[in-house]
Amino acid sequence: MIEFHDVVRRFGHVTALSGVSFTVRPGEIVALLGPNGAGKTTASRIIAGILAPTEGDAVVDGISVRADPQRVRLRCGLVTDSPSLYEWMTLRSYLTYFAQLYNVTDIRPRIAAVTALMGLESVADRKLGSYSRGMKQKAAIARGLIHEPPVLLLDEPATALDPEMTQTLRALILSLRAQHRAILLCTHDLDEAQRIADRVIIIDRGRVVREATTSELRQTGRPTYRAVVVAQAPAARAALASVGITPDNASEADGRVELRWTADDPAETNTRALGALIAAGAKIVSLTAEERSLEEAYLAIVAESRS
Amino acid sequence: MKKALLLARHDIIGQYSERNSLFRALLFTALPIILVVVNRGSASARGSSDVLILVFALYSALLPAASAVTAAAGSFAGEKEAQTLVPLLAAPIRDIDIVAGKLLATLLPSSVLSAVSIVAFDLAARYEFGAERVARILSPEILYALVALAVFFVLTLSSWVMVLSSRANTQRSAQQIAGFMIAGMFIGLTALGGLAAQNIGSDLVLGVILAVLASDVVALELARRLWNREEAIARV
Repeated sequence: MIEFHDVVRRFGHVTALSGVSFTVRPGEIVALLGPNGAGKTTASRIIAGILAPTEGDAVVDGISVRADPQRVRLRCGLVTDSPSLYEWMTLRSYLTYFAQLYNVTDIRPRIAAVTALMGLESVADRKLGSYSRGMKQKAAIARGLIHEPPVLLLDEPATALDPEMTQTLRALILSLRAQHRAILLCTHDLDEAQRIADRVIIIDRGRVVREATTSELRQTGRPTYRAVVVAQAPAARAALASVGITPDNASEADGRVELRWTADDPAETNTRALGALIAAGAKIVSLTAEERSLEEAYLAIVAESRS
Repeated sequence: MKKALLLARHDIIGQYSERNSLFRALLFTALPIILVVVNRGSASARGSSDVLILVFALYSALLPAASAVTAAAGSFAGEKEAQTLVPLLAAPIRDIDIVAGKLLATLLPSSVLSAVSIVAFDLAARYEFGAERVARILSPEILYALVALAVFFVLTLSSWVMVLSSRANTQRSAQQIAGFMIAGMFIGLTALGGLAAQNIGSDLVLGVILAVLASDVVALELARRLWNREEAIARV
C-alpha cells in the first residue's frame, strides 16, 4: 500500500532522507522511529504528496507520488502532532470544508460516521476553539478520515495528550488497522510503538538503520541473563571469574546477590556459571533470561549506526 | 476553479469572523465620511480644493483595499503560525487553485469595500460641497476608474504579499511586509492622483490604471511561479 523506493530528499545542502526504502501493507501499523530531525516528518510529507522526492519514488495504493501527487493526496489521511484546526469553525463546518476539498460525495453521512467514530457527535456544532487538546486531536483524526483514505499517516499524534486520551487514541488506531488501512506512525515514543506497531523502522540521520518487529528488536545484541543466588557478593563474583565470566552487574540485598551476564552461547555459559556458583557454596534462587526493553534496543541500534 | 472559490469563501469568512479585522474594514470604509467632515472648510473653497476632493476620492477607494490586503497577509502567515497550512497542502488541491483562492479571498471583499466606500464618499461630498461641483470633479468615469484602480491595486499588492508572506513565519512580520508595500504604493498613487487632478480629467487616471495593470501581470506571474507547496511547507 505504501512503497518507499530509495527515496532521497534534499533541502538545499541538507540531506533529510538518504536512500530510504520501506513498505507498509494494508492492515498493518508500521512505526517510523527516530530521534528529532531523523527525517520522519519529511518521509510522511513525501507520502502525503506535499513534498516531492529529490530521487527515488513513493508509491501509494499503486500511484506514484512523482507522477500524480493529486491522486496520492486523495488516498492519504495526514494527522500531525498539532491538531492544526481552524478554531473559529465548528467541527461540522470544518469537516464539510475538508470533505468538499477531498471531493467527498455523501458529505452528511460521512461526517456522521467520523464524528461517531471519534465520539464527537454531541459537540459537532461547537466551535473547535472551545475543544480540549484531546478533542482537538480527535477532530484532526476525523479530518484525516473524512475521505476514507486507505493510507493513514500519523506524525506524532499522541504528543501532549494525557494518558487516558493516549489510550483512547491507541484503541482508535488499532480499530483503524482492523479496517485494513495501511498506517504509518511516525514517533519517537518507544512505548507507543511497542504497544501498537506490527513492525518498527528505525531511522536516523535520514537512513534506515533497522527494520524489524518489536520482539525481534528486543532480541538484538547478546542476550542477558540474571541470576539471584544466596551467597556473599565477592565470593559469587570470584566463582564466576574462575570460569571466565565477568558479570556486568552484581548487587546484594537481604543476603541475596543479583548477578547479570551476557552469553553468546547460553547453554554452555550458563551451565559453567551455575556450576561454579554451586561449587562455591551458593544457593541458586532463580535464573532468568532478560529481554531488553525496546528503549535499550533502540538506543543501542542508534548508537551502533552512529559509530 | 471550484476549489479556488471554496478556499476563497472559507478564507473570507475566516478573516472577517475575527472582530479586529471586521472593525478595521468598517473603519476604513467609513473613513471617507470622516475625511469630508474634517475637511469641510478647506475643501469648500474653489480652486485647489478640487484636487483635495479627487485625492480624497482616491483614498476612499484605496484605504479599504489596503485594509483587506493587510488582513489577507495576516491570514496567510497566520495559517502557517497555527499550522493549519499543512492539512490544506495535504488536500487534493492544485497550487494554482490555492494561489487563486487566496487572491480571490483578498480581492472580493476589498472590491466590495472600495465600492461601498467610494459611494459613501461621493454621497457625503455631494451633501457637503454641492452636488453639481462634486459631479463635475467626480464624473461617473472617474468613479468607475477609481474602483477599477482599487481592484488592480489590490491584485498587485496581494500577489506580492502572498509571495512574500509565504516566506514570513509570523502573522506580525507578514503584516509588516504588507504595511511597507501599501505605504510605498500609497505614496506613489497619491503623487499620481495629484498629477491627475491638475487636469481634472480621466486620461492620467487611465494611465495609472494601465501602469498598475501591467504591474498586476508581473506580480501574478511571479506569484504563480514562486508560490508552491514545496516552498510553503519547507517553512512550516
